[in-house]
Amino acid sequence: MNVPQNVYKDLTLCSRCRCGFCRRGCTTYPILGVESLTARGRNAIALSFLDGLIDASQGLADRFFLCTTCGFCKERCPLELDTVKINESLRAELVKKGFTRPEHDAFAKSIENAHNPYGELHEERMKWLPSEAEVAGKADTAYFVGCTTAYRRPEIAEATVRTLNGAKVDFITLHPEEWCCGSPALRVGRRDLFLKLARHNVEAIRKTGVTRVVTSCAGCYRVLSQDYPEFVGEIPFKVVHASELMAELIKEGSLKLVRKVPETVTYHDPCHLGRHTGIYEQPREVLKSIPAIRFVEMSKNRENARCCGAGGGVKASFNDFALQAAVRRLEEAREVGADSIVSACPFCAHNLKDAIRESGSRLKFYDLTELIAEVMK
Amino acid sequence: MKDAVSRNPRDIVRLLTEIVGKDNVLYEQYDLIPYSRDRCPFLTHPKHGVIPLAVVRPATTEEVQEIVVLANKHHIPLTPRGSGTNYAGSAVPSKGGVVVDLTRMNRILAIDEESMSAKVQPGLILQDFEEALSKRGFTFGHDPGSFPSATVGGCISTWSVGWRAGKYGDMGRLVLSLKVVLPTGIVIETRSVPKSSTGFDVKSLFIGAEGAMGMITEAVLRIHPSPEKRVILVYGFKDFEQAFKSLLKVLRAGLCPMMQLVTNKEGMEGLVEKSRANGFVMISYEGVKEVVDAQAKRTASILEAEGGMKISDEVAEQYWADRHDMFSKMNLVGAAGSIDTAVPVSKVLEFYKFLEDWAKRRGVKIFDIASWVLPENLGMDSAFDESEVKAYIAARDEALRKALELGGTTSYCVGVGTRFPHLMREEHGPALDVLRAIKRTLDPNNIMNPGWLSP
Repeated sequence: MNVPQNVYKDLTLCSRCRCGFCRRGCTTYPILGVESLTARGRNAIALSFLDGLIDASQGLADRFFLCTTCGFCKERCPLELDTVKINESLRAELVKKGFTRPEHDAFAKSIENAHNPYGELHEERMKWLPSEAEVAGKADTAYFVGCTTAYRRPEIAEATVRTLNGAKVDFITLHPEEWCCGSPALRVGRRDLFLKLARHNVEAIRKTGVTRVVTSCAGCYRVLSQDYPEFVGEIPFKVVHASELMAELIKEGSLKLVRKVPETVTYHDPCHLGRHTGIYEQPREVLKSIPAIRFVEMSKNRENARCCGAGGGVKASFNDFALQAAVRRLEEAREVGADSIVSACPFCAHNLKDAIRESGSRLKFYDLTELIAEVMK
Repeated sequence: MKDAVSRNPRDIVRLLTEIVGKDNVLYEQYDLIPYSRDRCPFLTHPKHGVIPLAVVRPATTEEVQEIVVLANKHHIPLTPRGSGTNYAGSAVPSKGGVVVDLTRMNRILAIDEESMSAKVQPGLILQDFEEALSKRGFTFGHDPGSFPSATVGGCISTWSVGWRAGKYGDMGRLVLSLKVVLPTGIVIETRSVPKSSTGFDVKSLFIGAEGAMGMITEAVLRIHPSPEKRVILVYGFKDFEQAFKSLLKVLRAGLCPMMQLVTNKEGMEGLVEKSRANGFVMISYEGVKEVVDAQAKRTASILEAEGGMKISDEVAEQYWADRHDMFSKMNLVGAAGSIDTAVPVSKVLEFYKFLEDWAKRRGVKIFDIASWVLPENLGMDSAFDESEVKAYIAARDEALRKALELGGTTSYCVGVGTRFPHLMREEHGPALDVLRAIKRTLDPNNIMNPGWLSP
């Protein structure tokens, strides 16, 4: 047995219980309908594999990789089993045995070579930074941009910087020492690579002497605030998500929202920000502070929010499925009469925007930072 | 008799794929493992499961019909399955063959508000049904512990009961009509009226039949107006006996609770530790506000006159909120096993005392004993040392035989499955031959849940 003892124990508890309460809100199961893609089913496979009843294979491994690790099953589990940790432990074990996804191999290689999963040049990580942006040489706060924001959703990076400047928050960036946060590596079972990245980033941040790190990415936020302390020990800085910071700045009056947005808007909880780290209210408070906005909730929100379908390495490996999941989420936004869907994660942005385009939906998508940068004084 | 096809899994997979397409036939070992068990308490590890040859996932009655015709032709055992939350092993493919996963058939086909009925497919999850009805001002009213995952088809097939059965009835009473694919492939559909006098009630052959008489592909179910108000009352008593007698006073007064529960102290563990009470009565009403208020007031005065101590509304609400999660935790300790028996009301306290003595004698740890939903139902959750499962089963059977001796039944809601078939002769007597004869008539090749009611 090569998974942590508590993971094995959780598997045995699930194997006794078998209630299946995890199935109903699962991202994967309602679309693909196969029991081996539910937490209950995967746990039975995991226990069979760990106890030698069944050999590992690529097909078996794919049952673990075709999960967005959204954490709905963890939220709904009456036994409070950490189903995300179970899946990630099994992925790590399967990777060690050579059962990986080729797409994950490719992004891991890119992270090794260029510090980002997208095969982009490290030197171009800050290419999005507008010339008029004010970045301090020394400050208490650092903006951790993240790879998806930097290379795929630069509008979010730009909006975050404009918001920080507008609210007169001095900040530095870590470039060239900002490497991939390690989220994609950890989520798909590449623990050694993750550790290397985590140690590098923690050291890079420590050297700057900042006391606070802000990130506009839900994935980076989860990793920096939860996984770094768990895997590399106590970190000498506080980690805040842009939505938390904006809520605080609005409350204290440093961020004034003046322009009206006379639209019906709903909020999509990113899994890494909501279920994984418990930030539900601040993004809503920020949205509701926008003049003339009409805020509506989707029927599945906060702990029960449906995943956009992108996380856990799924978009890279199973894009068709990721889009199907995102279209279901868009449908929920449409049902409550939203004109726009707002979120706070570049990865959700990526997938939901793809789904809007593919499905021909009339919904608009904004990252929270984009909306705030537009309406602030 | 097995033929060449039924002996060759590849042939079976090929023929099933022709019916439902390759995405809806599973045959890899890792995909079959999750279908090898249900919630039968002793199947605590995947090694205890029975791996089927394949799993097939039909989407229509026609596909089910083709699968059944194929299986009947080649004598392939079929085990229908919903969410696999059955507690008796009825969804375990104990004779191998093919599991028919009906969860793709999970749609609400029609809601007839005027008739207060809904036509649904068997794979519909109860909670999804309830949420959809709630948006239109209706409730189904069936609320077993497995409510967040159980399917309509599974509930019909085990003749389940739920928390709200006092008002709305058990699952059987909620069924107006069924569409069923018989084991020979003939499709029948009964009439959607509460009763007729044109012969036997054919649909009742499939309620509680654990999939042995045919494959249910549609059901018309009664629905009810959403209640305006719900009240939950909990009272503590000196002991179980006093609590149970107080419940009977409430029923004798002509009150009909939506939910009723009498439990010993262990049944309220974690909620009322500081209470001096050793027995509890929980009663709930729901419906029209004025009626609910009047029922609750009268109930409170009866229970207080009987010496009941009111337990806070917060405790009552918490218990109600946790009622489904409790179901999940039942299987966790030791060789957990429940006894879900019913005996005549006049024998309940005698049986209760027997169980207390039996547990001491047999070294069984009882978590809770409860009379649930109907006063006749007396169940308990218990555990035994896992290394002595055989001894536990012998002990359990002694308790079940006592229930039979008192004029009761061994299983009021979980079915027979693989747990209790050896007791069916004692339960039914010569009537078991009637059940078997019906099974043989409908299923001459014994393909659907073969072994049902047979040890």
